[in-house]
Amino acid sequence: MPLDPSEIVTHFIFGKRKIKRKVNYIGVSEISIQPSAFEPEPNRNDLSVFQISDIKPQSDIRSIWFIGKFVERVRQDAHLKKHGTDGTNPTNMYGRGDLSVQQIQELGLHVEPNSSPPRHANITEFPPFNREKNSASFNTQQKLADRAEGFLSSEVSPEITDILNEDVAVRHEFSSLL
Amino acid sequence: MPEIVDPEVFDFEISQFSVDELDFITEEPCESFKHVERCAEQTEVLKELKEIEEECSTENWGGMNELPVTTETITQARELLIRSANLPYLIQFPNLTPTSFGLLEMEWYKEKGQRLAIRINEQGVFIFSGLFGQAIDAAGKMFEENIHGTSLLEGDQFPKVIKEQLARLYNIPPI
Repeated sequence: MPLDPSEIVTHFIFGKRKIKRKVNYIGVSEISIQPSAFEPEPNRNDLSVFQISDIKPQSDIRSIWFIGKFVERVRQDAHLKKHGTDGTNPTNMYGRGDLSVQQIQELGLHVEPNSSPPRHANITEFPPFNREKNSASFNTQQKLADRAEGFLSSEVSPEITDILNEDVAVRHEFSSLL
Repeated sequence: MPEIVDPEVFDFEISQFSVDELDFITEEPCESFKHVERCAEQTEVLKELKEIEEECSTENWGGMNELPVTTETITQARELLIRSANLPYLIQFPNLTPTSFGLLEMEWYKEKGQRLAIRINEQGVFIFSGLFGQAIDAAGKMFEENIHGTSLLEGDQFPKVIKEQLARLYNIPPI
């Protein structure tokens, strides 16, 4: 069953060039997210997000970043299992983009909850995409990047390197997976 | 009237770059402070491109089965960045990002809601997408001005479609 339009989800961003703080053309400092941060997974044509409706309004920021670090670890473990120590490394989490489900639905996309891992959901119904054509998908990705409220993990204080060992509110939901 | 350049400022700016770097970015002498600033910006963005080439030229560069950003794609992007130096100073150089399909994304970010991006491949084919803020239609309803499409880098000119959309983005006369 699709999520309610009032729900809030976040997409964790991996790759240092996809989210940056920069000064815009009128001299105001902004966090800008690149369209490529919202590229759907090529084989499934969907995008992974996490439900944070209950924790964002309470300003439980560390719980949100806890989930992000959990995802980072899952990616690293999966990569190690598949590729071993071949010299490649999955990119680290550099930030996140928060969106309401309504903002996503206005672009003709759906948000489908997914039971594992906890709080996971997928944005689906992206326009078909291939490498050189179908700029409609690119346009959708750019709109998602533009509407998202960006946050940089490097700006969190205290810093979050060891956050998976912290006793944050959502920890019990992930404890069997840690 | 030529701009007056404070020699101390000029020396300070210039001294951040080696002679080789400056030769690399332009064959023209830096005649004004603005031009020096432009050279510095171009040097930075070309360094960024070089880093992407070094980091993303093999498959699986991000650990998630990404396609490589090939030397040919980097060459196409470099040509475009070199040509961008001739755009009006108001237009900054684009942000660069590799994509999981091995394309190179360049985005001119003006502010939230106003941005133009392209993704280029090794043959010089690019898709583009732009957001130009809110407008009101004939029925008085708000809508988001945007555009997307596909085009090709041709010859040694900066692509016309991108020039047109940059002029629209920055609200300036045709470039």
